[in-house]
Amino acid sequence: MSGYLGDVAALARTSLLLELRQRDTVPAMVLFVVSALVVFRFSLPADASDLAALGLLWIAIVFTAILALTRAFVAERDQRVLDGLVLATADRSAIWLGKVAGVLAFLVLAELVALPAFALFFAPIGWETVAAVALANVGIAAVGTLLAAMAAASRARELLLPLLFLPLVIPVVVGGVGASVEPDPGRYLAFLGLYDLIFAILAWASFDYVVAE
Amino acid sequence: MRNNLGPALAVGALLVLGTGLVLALFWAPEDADQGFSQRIFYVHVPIALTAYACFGWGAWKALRLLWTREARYDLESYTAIHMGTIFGVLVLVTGSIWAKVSWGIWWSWSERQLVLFLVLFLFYSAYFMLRYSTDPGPRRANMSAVYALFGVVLIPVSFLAIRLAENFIHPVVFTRDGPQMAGSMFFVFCVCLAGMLLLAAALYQAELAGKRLDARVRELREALA
Amino acid sequence: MSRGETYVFAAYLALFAVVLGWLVIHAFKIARLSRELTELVELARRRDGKAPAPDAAEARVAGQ
Repeated sequence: MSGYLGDVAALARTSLLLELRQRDTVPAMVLFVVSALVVFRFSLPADASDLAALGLLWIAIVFTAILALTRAFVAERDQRVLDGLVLATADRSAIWLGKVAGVLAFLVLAELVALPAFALFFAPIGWETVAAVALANVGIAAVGTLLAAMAAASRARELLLPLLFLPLVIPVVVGGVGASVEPDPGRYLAFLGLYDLIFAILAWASFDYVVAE
Repeated sequence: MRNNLGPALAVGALLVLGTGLVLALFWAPEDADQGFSQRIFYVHVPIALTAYACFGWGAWKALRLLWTREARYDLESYTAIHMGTIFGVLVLVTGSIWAKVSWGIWWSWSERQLVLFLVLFLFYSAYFMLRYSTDPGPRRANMSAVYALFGVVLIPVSFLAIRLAENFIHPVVFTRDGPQMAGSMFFVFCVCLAGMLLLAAALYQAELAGKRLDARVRELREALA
Repeated sequence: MSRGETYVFAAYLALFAVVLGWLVIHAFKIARLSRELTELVELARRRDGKAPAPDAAEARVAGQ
């Protein structure tokens, strides 16, 4: 079992070290999410409710996530490293888990800036929004990483990922916005947890088939 | 038996669906509230259920592909999902027509079935984009199969999400009478449902046969070249 | 025809249109496959060195 977790840890470490050295994905995500929030500020009419603004926060998070996911397998594809990884690891789902850990880390880092920025530009956010974001991150990373691997194998690549990703992320947006906006956030947080559980297991189990020949 | 399945299904579809549609238009009792326009129900709901069945069949074939790695399941899964998408578009069209005649608008976000099919339409359209932008082979077959499995899981999850979203998306809810149907209505519904399933099966079989013929002609060409 | 009737028939017609559309697409497909098969039969006969005899096959089919 330590072999599996060792693989996962190694892969996660690789993603993070690469990012530390290149420093391109996270700064881009941070800049993107802040720019998006500013654009949203200009697109909302003056009398728009705080609730509408919270909806836009979730849109910003989803599209920022797409940025991170588009990059998730880029390095590997360019250097055929993915083929080597697939051959080297006994259980390919370790690749998925390692990548998910990396994507999660990037998302959290971007949100550490995005959420305070949102509070500054629009309205303060409560614990339910933060909890919802945390839960949503898991679902987004789990599903997104699998889809990013699929998109990387196709000819359309960056074009394909949003198309694959957006329909699947609709329940996450519903759960997130609901938790942020509704007086009873518990149901929506539970729904997010359910989504995470179902799709994380499905993605973990099927990643092997996606990268194998 | 294999060669007779296509024609048998086609004949079955003709007889059952033909009967069903005639019954729906002329024999079924008129609905007290909605009047004649309620009869759209006899095509709209069976088409929706048939679409679900097609997606489910496609997911089953996808599972078989991943389990046995036999290439034929890829074609069968793809064809089933193709059928499901066609019927899905029909759901959106007939649902829209029904919304227009019931409430005067072409679309309603409070119609859960319609919203669900919109999401599924987007999802399965992406399925075709995935297939078209990947080179044919075992890799494409595996990825399509995994995506098809995600699709059937998405159906109940999306439905739940849509229900949850109603609280903050659209406060005004249009309602229609639920399934408190008269016995004769239910009978006509069942005939139409059976007919629609047979239609989907017949189209599926014919399309599959056509694709297989295509493949064999290509094989022949390669053998002769 | 009342408004309700128009819409009902529109919905049923949509179903009909889809099935007919499918039929049209498949008719073209069958025509294309027929053409390709004829080509390939030609190719096969030429490979065997025999003179192409397309009428013989058609006569067999017509005779049944």
